[in-house]
Amino acid sequence: MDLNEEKELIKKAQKDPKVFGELYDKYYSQIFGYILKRVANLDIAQDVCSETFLKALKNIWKFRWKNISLGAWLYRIANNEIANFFRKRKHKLVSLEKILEPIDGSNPEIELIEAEDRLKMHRDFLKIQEKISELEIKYQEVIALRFFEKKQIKEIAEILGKKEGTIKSLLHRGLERLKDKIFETK
Amino acid sequence: MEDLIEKLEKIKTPEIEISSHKRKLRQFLLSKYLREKRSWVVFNIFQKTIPVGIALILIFFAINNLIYPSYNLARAKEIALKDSQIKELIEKGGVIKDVKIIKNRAYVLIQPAKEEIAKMPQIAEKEALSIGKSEEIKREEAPVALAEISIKEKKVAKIEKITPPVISFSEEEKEKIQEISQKQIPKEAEIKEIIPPSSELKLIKKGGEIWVLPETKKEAIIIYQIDKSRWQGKINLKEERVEELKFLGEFENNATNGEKKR
Repeated sequence: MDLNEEKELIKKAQKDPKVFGELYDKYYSQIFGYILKRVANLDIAQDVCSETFLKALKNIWKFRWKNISLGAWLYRIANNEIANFFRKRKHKLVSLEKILEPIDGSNPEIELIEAEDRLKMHRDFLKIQEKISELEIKYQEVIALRFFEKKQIKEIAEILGKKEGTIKSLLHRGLERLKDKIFETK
Repeated sequence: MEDLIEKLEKIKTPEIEISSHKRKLRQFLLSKYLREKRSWVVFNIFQKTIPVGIALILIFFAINNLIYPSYNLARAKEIALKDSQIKELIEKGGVIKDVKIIKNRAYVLIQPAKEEIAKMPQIAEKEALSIGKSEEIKREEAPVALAEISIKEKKVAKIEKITPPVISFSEEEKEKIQEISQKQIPKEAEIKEIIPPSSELKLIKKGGEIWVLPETKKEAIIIYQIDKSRWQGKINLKEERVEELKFLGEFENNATNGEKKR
C-alpha cells in the first residue's frame, strides 16, 4: 500500500469504524511484536499494546498527513508508551478482561501460558534483550528498530522524528554501550 | 563491535501473537470508536469556535470602545455645532475643547482657543497691569461653557456657562518660582507679582459624572520691575527656567492703580 492509498484509508477510518478495524488488523501483529521485543514480557506487552491502540484511536481524528506513514505513527505511539512504562516501571492496565468476555470458546490463560513457553525458548534473544533494556531509552529504541524490526536508518528516522545522521550516531553509541554491558557481565 | 552487530543481525526474535488479546482489543476499540468520535467532534467544534469567539469578542470590543465612541463623539460635535447658542460661543472665539460620553449623553466643553486663553489676563495680572473693571466683565463673558447633548434625541439638552477659574499658587510654589526667577532675571529686579497662567479646562469622567477641571499648571507668569521698567516673564516650571520676556511699559514705583506713565 502506497502513501496515497494509506491516506485515503485513514480518511475512511476517521468516518467508518469498519475501516478502522481493517487498519487495526493490518498493524496489530507488527506493533505487538515490536512491543514484546522491547519489554520481553507478555503481560506488559499486551497492556502496552492496548494503550498504544487506544491512543491511536483517540488521536486518529487528529492524524494529519505530514509524510509519515501510519505504521511509523503507530511505532511512535508504541515508543512513547514503552518509554512511559520504563519510566514508571509499573503499568496501568487497560483491563480488557473486565470489559469483555472471551468471544469464542478459547481459553486466554492457556494461550498465554503457551505463548510464555514459546518466549522462554528464545534464550539468546532474552539474554541480549535484558542487556538492551538496561540502556537509555534512546539507545534501546534505535537498536530494537534496527536489529529486531530490521528497519532501515531512513525508516527509523521517520519513526523517531530525527535526522538520519542522528540515528546513525545514536546507533553507534548505543552499540558501544551494549558491548560494554555484555563485557561487564563476562 | 562487528561481532555484536553480527550477533544482533542473526538473532532469532520471538514472533508471538496472542490471538485472544488481538480479538478482545479489537472489540474494545470498536466499542469505544463512536464515543471517541463524538468527543472528537465536540472538541473539534469547540476548537473551531474558540478563534471565532475570540474574533467576535475583539470585534465587539473594537465597536464598543473604538468605533462606537468615535462615532458618538462625531455625532455629539455635529449636534453641538448646529445649536444656535453654541454657534454664538464659537463666533466669539470658542472652540470645542473636549467631548466625553456617558451612556447616551455627550458633554461638550467649549472654551477659547489655546492662544486666546494665553492672552486672557487673570485678576492678579490685571491688578498688576492696572486693567479696568470693564476687562473683568469681558473675562466673565469668555466663551466657556459645558453643553450636555442627548445623542438619542439629537439635541442640546442643557448649556451651562462656566467662568474660567483663577488658579492660585501655594506659598511653597511661590517660593520655588521666586527661586527660579532670581537665577535668571537681573538681581536688582523686584518681583511685583506671581501670576498663575489662565488655565485651560478639561473634562474628566469620574464615577458616571463629568467634572470640569483645570489642566495641571506647568507655567507661571512673573511681573517684575527694574527702576521704572516693568517686565513680564513666563516661567516653565517643569524645566525650571524663565522664557518669553515681555516689556510691559514704564510705571512709577509702587504704581497700583493705573498710574502708568505712558
